[in-house]
Amino acid sequence: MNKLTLALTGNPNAGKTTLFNALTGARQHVGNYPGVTVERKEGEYKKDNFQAVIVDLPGTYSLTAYSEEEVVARDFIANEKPAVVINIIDAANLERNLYLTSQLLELKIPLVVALNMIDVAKDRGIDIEVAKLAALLGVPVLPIVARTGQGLDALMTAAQDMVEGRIAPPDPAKVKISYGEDIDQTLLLMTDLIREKALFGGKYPSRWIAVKIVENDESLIREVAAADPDLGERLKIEADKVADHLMKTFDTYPEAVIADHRYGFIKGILKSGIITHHYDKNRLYTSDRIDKVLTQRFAGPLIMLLTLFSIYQITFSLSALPIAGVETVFSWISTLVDGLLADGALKSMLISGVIDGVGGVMGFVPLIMLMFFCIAILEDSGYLARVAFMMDRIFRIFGLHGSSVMAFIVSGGIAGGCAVPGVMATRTLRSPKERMATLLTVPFMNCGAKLPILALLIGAFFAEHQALYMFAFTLLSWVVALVAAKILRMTVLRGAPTPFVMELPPYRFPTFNGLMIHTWERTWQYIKKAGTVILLISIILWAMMTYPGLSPEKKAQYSKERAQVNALYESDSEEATKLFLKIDNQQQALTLRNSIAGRIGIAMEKVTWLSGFEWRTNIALLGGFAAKEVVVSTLGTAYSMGDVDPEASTSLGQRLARDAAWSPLVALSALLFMMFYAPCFVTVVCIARESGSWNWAIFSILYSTTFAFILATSVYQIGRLLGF
Amino acid sequence: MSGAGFRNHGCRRVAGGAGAGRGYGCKRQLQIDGLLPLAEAGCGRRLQVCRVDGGRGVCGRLASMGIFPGQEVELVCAADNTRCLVRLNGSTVSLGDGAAEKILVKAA
Repeated sequence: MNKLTLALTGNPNAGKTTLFNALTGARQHVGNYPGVTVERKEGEYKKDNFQAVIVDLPGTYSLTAYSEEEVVARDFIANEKPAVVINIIDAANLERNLYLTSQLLELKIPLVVALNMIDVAKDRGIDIEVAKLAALLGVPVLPIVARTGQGLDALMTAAQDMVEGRIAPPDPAKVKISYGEDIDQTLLLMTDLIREKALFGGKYPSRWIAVKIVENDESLIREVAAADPDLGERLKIEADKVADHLMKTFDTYPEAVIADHRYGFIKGILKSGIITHHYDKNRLYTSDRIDKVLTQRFAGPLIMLLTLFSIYQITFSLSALPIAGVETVFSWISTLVDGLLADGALKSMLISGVIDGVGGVMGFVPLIMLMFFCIAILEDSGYLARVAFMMDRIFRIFGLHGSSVMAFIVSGGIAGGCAVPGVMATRTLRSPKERMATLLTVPFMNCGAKLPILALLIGAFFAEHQALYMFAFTLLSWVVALVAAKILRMTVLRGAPTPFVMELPPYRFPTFNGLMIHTWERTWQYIKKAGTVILLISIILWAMMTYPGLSPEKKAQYSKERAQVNALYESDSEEATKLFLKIDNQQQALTLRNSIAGRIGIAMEKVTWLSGFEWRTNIALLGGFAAKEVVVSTLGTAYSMGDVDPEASTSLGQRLARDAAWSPLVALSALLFMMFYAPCFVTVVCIARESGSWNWAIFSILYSTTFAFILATSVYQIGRLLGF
Repeated sequence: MSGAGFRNHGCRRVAGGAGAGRGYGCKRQLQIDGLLPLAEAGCGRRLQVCRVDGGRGVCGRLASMGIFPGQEVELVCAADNTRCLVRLNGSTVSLGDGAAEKILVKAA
């Protein structure tokens, strides 16, 4: 049996992701932040004799290319030709949801409508005649409740019936929407032209293409021009003609007239007795009452800050114990390997490279997991959308857009995100200048990889007020990003702001299942990265920190010293052990200084002494450019190699706190530098791809590193002057 | 506000004109006199969208979210009178200050 493909489409907040999870038990869900799912997700559905791949398309309000989401959705439908498209619509908000449906109908594709949240609609006193709606739309309509799974079997049976030909595909003639005489005339003319040339090999219906061109869909107009420049020109002339005419006679744009007629078509359907309201249609729902409190101009942001602070408080206090547990496990493994293997390159690599490297990152899994859990609650309850809305007021002042807020949050605005999806989330921004300003500033946020650095240094040097410091550093990252954005928007990226519109989903009680899926998926990404990329980089860095090793003369000198100890003391005596350890450590320290990484680190000291960083810190910073997680593991390796304390099994935090090269002031300076210096390599590649030029990516590295260096140096030097 | 009705951009729908008759009730005269931007309208009142100014993209996008001339909306304001949220057809849409300036409404 060959694999069928079914596609899910629908408005944002219509319950698409919930349905997708319910059908596939999805484990590959990435980035469910509202309004930023631009990639498509796939999952498998299997029941009895019916098996299909289900593709979750980005949520859209229409099929006209206002942003990347619509293009992704319609390209998939047109190019991959899914066997059935399931259009999920919110029963409590039929009018707006059917706007997309009306455009899907025009695409003449096998369509099944899933009428979601009929329970909510019923609670609100809305009754819907499903059979009548199906008859008027000309496609099967199945009532479902995606959250509870009610009606899903019937929905999939309908999809199967359509695939296997037991239900006839929709009859396009039944739902031909008229757009008024002027536009209809033009459409007729354009449709003939398109059909004559068999544009795009017939992957879109001719009339649909014509409607999109009249709607001034820039993406499709470009596509047409690329496929057939001559035809594109002729179609554009027709479209401009009718636009001119409408402007002269009705003082309006064609897309307004088209939207008007689409809503007219929908109203026509709804008015024919399909929908009955039992209560006052306009009463305030609970959601609105909550919003009345949470979105106030002054109290709203205050509540937001309190929420953020309590997240940090909870995360730090609850994760302390499990983190210590994981650290114990890794130090136990380390001791075990130490005892099992003979001294040599393999043992050194396993302990200093693999266990310290991966263990250093894995130790923070409990913290990351709790943080993701809290973010999942904010996200699934609908509060995150309010945060974006409230932040828009502030963002506007700094020349950014409300849609930038989500990119910031995804990147780690509430510490724990990742700049890579954050950079991709900027696709929802339509103004190139605002988008570029967002692209260049989101890496300043505290992503999940910077979190271990913050936790480590805060824990080691500012242990009394961990949550408070975390909170302060989060706020600082926002301030820096916003000020940087403002400066960019006043200099290289000058331009007018674009208006912000976003739908706020109603508040919902998060489902336990949803929270678990979201938390686990992101945590798993983190663990997977630690086991693959971070492991590889850790080994490379270990090699750079080990080789070329000491010269034979030096080695001979240390052997001689050992021999001297042997000659002077009993081999098992306390004195001898102490002296041996001292010699071992001196040798290790010298090896590190002499290694490739050590030499680079020492060379960098010529500049970095200004910020208070010694050569071993420099090595970690260099490693951090590959991936920020590596900073912690490299510090671990660098400071374990030259350790002078015989009781070597202390944690990295304690070792740093004891080291002469570190002090609270150095820690502060290092924290600031690590928060703001060059984005990691993957992010830089993403910036290059999203901005379409390596110049911007290089600019991003240079300006952020320069800024971070100036900031760290000023703090360090002023701190020193003040006597810290 | 004067002369706003004569601006040559904005996706407006004039229901009183020839060939209309869909009964939206946004007459031209009203557009000149009784219209005000959503940003300045009163809280908690039912309003009717009469005109959406701005480029073609903005108009189309707002229309796809349900905000287009003729649509009835309600302003939901926070307790401290912050104007921000619009309720229409059972959904809540938030508008930035810039967008709220571009939507001209009258009392429904």
